[in-house]
Amino acid sequence: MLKVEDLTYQYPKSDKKLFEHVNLEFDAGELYAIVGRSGAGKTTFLSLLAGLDVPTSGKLKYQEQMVTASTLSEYRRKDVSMVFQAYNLFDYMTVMENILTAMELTGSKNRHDRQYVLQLLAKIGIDRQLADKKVVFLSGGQQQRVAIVRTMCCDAQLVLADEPTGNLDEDNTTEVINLFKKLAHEENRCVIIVTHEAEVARNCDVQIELHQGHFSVQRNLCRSSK
Amino acid sequence: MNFIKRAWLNVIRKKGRTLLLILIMSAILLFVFAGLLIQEAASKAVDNAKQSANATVTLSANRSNAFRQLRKHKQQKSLTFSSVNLKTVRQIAKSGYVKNYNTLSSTNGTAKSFKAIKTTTTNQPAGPIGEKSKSSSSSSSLSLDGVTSTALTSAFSEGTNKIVSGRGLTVNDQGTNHTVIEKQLAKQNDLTVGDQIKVKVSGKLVKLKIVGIYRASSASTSQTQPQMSDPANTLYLSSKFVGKLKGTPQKVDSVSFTMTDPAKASSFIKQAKKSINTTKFSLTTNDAVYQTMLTPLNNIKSFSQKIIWLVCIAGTAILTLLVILMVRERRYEAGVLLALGEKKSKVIWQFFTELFLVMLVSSVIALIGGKYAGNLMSKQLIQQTTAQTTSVSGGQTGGMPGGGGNSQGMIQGNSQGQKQPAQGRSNASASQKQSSTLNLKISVKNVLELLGFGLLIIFIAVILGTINILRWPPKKILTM
Ligand SMILES: Nc1ncnc2c1ncn2[C@@H]1O[C@H](COP(=O)(O)OP(=O)(O)OP(=O)(O)O)[C@@H](O)[C@H]1O
Ligand SMILES: [Mg+2]
Repeated sequence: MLKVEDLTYQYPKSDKKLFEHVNLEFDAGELYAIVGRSGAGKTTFLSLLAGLDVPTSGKLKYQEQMVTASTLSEYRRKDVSMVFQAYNLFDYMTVMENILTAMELTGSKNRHDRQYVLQLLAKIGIDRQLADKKVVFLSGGQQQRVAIVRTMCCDAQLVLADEPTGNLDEDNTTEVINLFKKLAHEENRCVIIVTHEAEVARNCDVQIELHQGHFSVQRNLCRSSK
Repeated sequence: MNFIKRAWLNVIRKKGRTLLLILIMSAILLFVFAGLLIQEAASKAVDNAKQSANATVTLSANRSNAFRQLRKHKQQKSLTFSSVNLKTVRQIAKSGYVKNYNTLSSTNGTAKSFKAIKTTTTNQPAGPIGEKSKSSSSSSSLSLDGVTSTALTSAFSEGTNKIVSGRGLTVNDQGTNHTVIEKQLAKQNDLTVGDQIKVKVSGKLVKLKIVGIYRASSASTSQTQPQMSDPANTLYLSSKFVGKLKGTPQKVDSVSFTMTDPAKASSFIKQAKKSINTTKFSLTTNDAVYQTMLTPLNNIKSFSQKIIWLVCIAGTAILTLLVILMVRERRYEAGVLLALGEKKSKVIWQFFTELFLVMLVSSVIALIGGKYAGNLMSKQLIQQTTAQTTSVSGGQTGGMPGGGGNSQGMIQGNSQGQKQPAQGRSNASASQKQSSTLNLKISVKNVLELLGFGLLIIFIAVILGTINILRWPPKKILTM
């Protein structure tokens, strides 16, 4: 579904290539975990997959189609949905407005269905009252969960999440991972998450480890644990 | 449409920031609007001044040449001034520069059927009029001024003389024996409109018919021309009639051409010089009134123009800085929007819409306050510029005490929608008037201009404010 071909990336101002000639393939219906040390380049890699940045060289193919500069905005709107490490939500909107705005923007099929959104929110412990509060009144973990629900509400086939469980307690972590699993297995989406937690990684279908030394040279970092 | 909704939410949810923006924007637009109002009022006043300030060009005998001739030919006993041929006048008057013209021809006569006013007591208003009339003096001489139309003479157009009964002379009176006499003279001799009077001109007895009576404000005339005979002894006649009396019906002493556009006087002179013998005749312009009237107005006009540009530039700079800060603070929002697939242009439109909403509120405030601020500013401006030009024109025009005074009278006259008032003729009265204001009127055009300037300012601010952020890919924006 998503193919990375001969991808090389180097930050414009740094002199070292973060990774070189990477070849990877991601399939629909699977939950991937990218693990690695802090600073290894996980966020950078995910940004490239999400089309938020362009690789120094190499190709990104989505459903056998090249993602180019001209199709980037379309790709971001229709095909990918991403949860960031921080700053996910619009602070001047309520929880509900945040989600509805994103749904409208991406043209989600459920964009007029408040009930659908409320159900999803309830599943991860955000009730109706909170749903109509401005997001600045929510805790970091609550905001993180809202961001995940926002991603699920959009119809994108590719779901990317950077440390989605970073701010969550054990119960909520389990709930969020189950949601991601459901997205992958029941809705046949391709879900890729970055995580520090070994427990979370173990729960995913595929683990991809980025190691400083090996990273740029190793071609296949996948280790199936289905 | 999504971006409009976001803009709206942002504006109403972040009240503190919106209020601050409205405050700053209002201040900027207030100055722009006041500037626009002043500028328009000033250029309207300039137009009015151009129309009412009759710059005239006078065609008359070349005096210096006449004196030269006198020195050259010692046997010649008196100065001879060439008179102007009417044919030449009509030819020159065909020029597009000429609005109308006034032929002037004057001679002297003595009162026969009535008594002239004695001169010696003019400067002592204490003496009762009755006393004057008793002294039938040697100076019973009358000055007979032939004109094309009384309204075109400077005495009437500048307001020194005013018709108080009957009518003034017009082109239709050419060649007739109709006359317009002074009120004091009429009162003293019990004359009214329709009466016949007799005067003696170079030995001949001439009958004249009174068609109008004017009042001369003798004060200013006696000030400027103290040694002349009493202004009340001036009778206005048709220039053709005076020409007949002098035995030269096809000639006049001088002609004053009124310009259609006062600014073109010198071009007209250049053109007219081709039709005359310049050694015998000279063309002199009298646009001093026009110039002194226009200088302060033009100053105000250019000053207000500068204000507008200055405020626009300063306002844009301030607003741009604010927008840059605002966008920096909201770069994550922009980044997330881009990550969700929003187009960059839509993000820019969102910021633009936010500022546009702020601008709408600010425009209303500026519209309410602009007239008030504009009045204050224009008052200050007029006081300063007229004070300057009055002192300048005092030195320049010398014998034209109306100069500085007129300009101020003009401004006030415009503000009240009146014609140029006569009381602005002397420096003394001009400097006393401090409450002059320009006529500031808010028109649809002003409002549109204000909105135009507002849009321009926020457009520049948004473009400059967002360009530094939005040119980067979303990843970079989110990690900035
Ligand atoms: N904008 C940037 N310009 C230059 N270098 C950057 C930039 N952003 C990140 N880096 C560098 O690139 C490397 C990878 O960063 P990245 O954020 O991808 O790491 P990460 O694996 O997500 O780490 P973490 O687990 O702490 O989130 C780091 O060494 C970082 O210093
Ligand atoms: Mg990271």
